[in-house]
Amino acid sequence: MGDLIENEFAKFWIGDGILYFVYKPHIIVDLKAAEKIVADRLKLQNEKAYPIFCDTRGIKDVNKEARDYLAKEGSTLAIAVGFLVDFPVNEAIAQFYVKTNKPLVPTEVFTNKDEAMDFLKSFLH
Amino acid sequence: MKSEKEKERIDSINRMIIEMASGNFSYQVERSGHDDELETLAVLLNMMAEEMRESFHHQGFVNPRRIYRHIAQMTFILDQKFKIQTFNNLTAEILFLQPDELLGIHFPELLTEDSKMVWKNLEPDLENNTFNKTVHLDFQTPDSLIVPAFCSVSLLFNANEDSKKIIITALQTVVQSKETEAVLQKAIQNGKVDQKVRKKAGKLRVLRRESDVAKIREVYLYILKNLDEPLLSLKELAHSFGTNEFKLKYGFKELYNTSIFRFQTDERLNKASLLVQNSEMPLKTIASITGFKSFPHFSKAFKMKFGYNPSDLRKASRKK
Repeated sequence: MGDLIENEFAKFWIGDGILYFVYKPHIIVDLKAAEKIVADRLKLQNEKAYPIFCDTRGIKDVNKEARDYLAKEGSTLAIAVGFLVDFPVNEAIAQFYVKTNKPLVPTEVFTNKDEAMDFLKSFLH
Repeated sequence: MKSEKEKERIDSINRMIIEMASGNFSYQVERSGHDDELETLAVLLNMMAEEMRESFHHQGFVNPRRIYRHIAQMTFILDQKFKIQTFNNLTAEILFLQPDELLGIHFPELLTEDSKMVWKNLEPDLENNTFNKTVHLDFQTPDSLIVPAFCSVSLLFNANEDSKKIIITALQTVVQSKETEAVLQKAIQNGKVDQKVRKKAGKLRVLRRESDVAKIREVYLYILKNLDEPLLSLKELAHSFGTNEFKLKYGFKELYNTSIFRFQTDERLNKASLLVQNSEMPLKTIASITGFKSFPHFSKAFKMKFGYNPSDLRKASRKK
């Protein structure tokens, strides 16, 4: 359902009113990467805001500039964000990001896909 | 029973904590390929250091006696075989090496594996006489702490082909405990100290308590989350966040170096720019969801900030 966009960092598509986002393996997210990711996501969304499911298990590292950018600009046209993470490193990065970089939209961290989806679906009207 | 490798990883974590405790947030723990609790600690420390480096900008709260922050430089001069001919004192200090450990070394050996690759990619271009490039390089230290640095690499002019020299200047932020006013003055003269910090040293400081800072930060986030709302008056804003107009106005300026109104306008325009570039949302809609009173008002502010108007940006983005 809908288009799939793929760039060097992730694949994303829209389905059932939710934007799905899956990072590729061994990704290091710097500011340039963050800008590309947000730009491509906005292109896909075509002016509409969505709850975003984000599988971050492929992320190895994300530097401060990127974290700040994602927290701020990355919240544009996002209703809420649910991260799917791996224990332990990946989860720690996500928890740190939510607590410290303070994304502008409700953002939660999950190790279980169903729980993430329940969270995101609660934002669908 | 800990393996050698584990001991090394723990050592570098301990080292990192000690450096951070003395106000040095420029280091990073080297990442191993592992995905375990030790790696989690390393990653969290790295991210914490990045965040604190920025906080230190504003408050110097780690050690209140140290209010100075300056930009330290490592400078290397290499011969055409990339061997280190000479360097400044600070370089040895920052890399935790003795000067004689640096002399004559093949420069790339100081770098992490990833940065060695980056350097390797530069090497062919260094044949070119007009070579001048800035590149991010990570330096290794004896206890696996990494020094990330923004490096300017240039070929020094020399009429004699056989004695080419390369100069590398690396910039990062380090707090030195033995800093004196004289050294700081010198750094300022060389234009190497962030102007922000210097200004603060002389100005009235409104934010004296952690709670004051926290309130200003809340206002900052509130504005970002509600860009489309018209801005409340300073008085209303101050009272809803439990502070007064004076503290809000000057505190915001102190922390973010801009006025609240200017900040809101800037952020509205940044958001608008993102949408203009990456969507087909009608410009009028963008103007209204980013909180502008009218389209002409939006267009004018946009042009003033970016130097081109929204429709030109939209056209240019379509071409990409």
